[in-house]
Amino acid sequence: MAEPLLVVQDLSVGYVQGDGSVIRAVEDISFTLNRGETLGLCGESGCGKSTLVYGLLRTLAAPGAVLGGSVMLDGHDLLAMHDEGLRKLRWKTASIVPQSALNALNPVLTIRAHVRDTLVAHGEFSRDVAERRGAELLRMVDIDPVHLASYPHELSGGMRQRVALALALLFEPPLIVMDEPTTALDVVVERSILRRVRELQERLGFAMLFITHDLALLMELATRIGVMYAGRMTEIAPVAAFRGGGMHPYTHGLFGAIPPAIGEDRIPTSIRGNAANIAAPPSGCRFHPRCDHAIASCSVDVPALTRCAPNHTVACPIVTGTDA
Amino acid sequence: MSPPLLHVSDLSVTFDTGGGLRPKKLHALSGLTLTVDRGEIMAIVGESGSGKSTFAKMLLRLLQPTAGKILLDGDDVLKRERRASKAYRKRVQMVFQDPFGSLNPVHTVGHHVERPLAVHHIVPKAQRRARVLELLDQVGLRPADAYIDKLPQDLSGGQRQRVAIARALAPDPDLLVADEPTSMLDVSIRMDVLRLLERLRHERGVAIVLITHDLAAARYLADHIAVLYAGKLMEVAPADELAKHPRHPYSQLLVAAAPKPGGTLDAELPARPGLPPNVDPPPGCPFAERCLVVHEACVTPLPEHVLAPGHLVRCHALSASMQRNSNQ
Repeated sequence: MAEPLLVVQDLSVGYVQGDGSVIRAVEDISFTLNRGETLGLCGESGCGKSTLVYGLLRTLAAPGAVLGGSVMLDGHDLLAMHDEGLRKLRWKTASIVPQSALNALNPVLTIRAHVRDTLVAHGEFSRDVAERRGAELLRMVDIDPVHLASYPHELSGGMRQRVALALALLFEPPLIVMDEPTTALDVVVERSILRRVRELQERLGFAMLFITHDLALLMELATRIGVMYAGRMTEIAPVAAFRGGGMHPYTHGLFGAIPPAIGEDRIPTSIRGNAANIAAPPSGCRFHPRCDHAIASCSVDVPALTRCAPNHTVACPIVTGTDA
Repeated sequence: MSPPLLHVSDLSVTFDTGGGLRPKKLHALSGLTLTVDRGEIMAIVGESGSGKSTFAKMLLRLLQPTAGKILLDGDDVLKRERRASKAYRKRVQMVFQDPFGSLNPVHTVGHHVERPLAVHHIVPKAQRRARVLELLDQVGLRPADAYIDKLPQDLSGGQRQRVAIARALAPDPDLLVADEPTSMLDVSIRMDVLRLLERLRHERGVAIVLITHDLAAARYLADHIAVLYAGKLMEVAPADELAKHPRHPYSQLLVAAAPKPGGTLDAELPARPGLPPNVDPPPGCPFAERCLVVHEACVTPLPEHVLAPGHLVRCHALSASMQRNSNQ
């Protein structure tokens, strides 16, 4: 039986402008992440996928702010917690593997110091423990423990990303957020890291929220995929449901835009127009100006996520047949 | 027969790196020989450190090769001029990866596209605006007069990249070097830009060297794909052939690693882990230490097997299997 780890209800996150107005970058998002599961969040730049995740972990820097909703992580109400409680929870219950490990690692500290600092911040002061744990973690991600003495600049891009992964595993948290962890890497390195991530996930049982714009990659990695457009969730379903291209017209468009690397000789097509401006989003369904199936009501009514199959919800009245 | 548009032979670049008094040699590119015909699209693929961006810089003459020749229309340009002449720059133009960094935020779209026209004295001043409008129209920024006075900040990433392409086209070049032109763009509009490049090739006959690590994009756009590893050419083949039947073990690795819907991460990659040996590289094949079909000949210089017109594979394992077949 799937046990929920993270339950997000009607979460809205935004950015407060200088004049006091608010850009609502994430609107009314609800989803559940079960233990040990991988939910892929996918969408174009500016769709709010990173804002959503940093907002729900309350790691969003000002002027970003959570505007409403609730987030329950492992029984803790994250949005109601005090800073100190939250500080203790972070890294132990949820950790992040950031996009650019070079920027996430401190250039003047060795990898050993990164491990020690993190342990000390959570009350573990023993040098021996740090040494042992550091070596163990580096081995887990296929790096020779001699690199505990290395500085970030001495490592290749792939190795830095492995170190970031190792640090995220330090307390073996039940949730790890991966924010485009392999976007800066080439395909061969990307693949070997993701294979290792999957092995570790099977061994340690953590759940992942995996942010990427690479839908083809998620098809291989995720258990379920959530597709976002202009701050709203447009479709969430198990990976199998996306094999046929998904249900939402935007999902269709995204799949159509990926040229096939091998196999079929399909001619890829792009979605017309440009990604919606989040500061002044279109009315109704935010995708309607780019949608080939749009009808008059699409520019007026905000579509709700509607169940169209078990575990499969889509926010489009045309495909779910609820526009009457 | 007229010479090909671009022919580079034995092109090498080495840098000194580290080591104080006895610096090590970093081989960014070693002995690259490649031909690009008029109107041809040649994709250069390979992982980080393969030398593909170094190659682009050399074509643009931003970097002086340590050895080798660059022939443009059969003319040995390195011999004739130490630094690139204006005439050379007019013929070889560049589209950069990052359309947010390659346009000056304080200048209008029109200014960017007009500069090459002025610098190369292509169009008299009075007619430049008309020519700029024409170029913007050609790259799909329509109506052009709505874009010409805009600033880069008013444009989306895809539109900016179109401006960069219009600017590169302004001097009517014979060769366009595009370094990852779509990797900074959103997935849903990447195809638009690739298709624009394809259309420009047809309409204007401009040849394109496309630097990318996206095998799918290379397959879609290019006529031929050249695979580089640690600065050495591993395989050149017609694009579809390379994607469907890669012959070099490294090409096979790249194809296997490309994400595909319906695939899984379970499949073992057909190579040992490792990094390109760019610093003081071993003799022979740079991929040998990662290769699953490596054997004793792999420390000797790379062979050249021409399997079909336009399909070259440099692999000792292939020599061995060809030997076996001919003995049977």
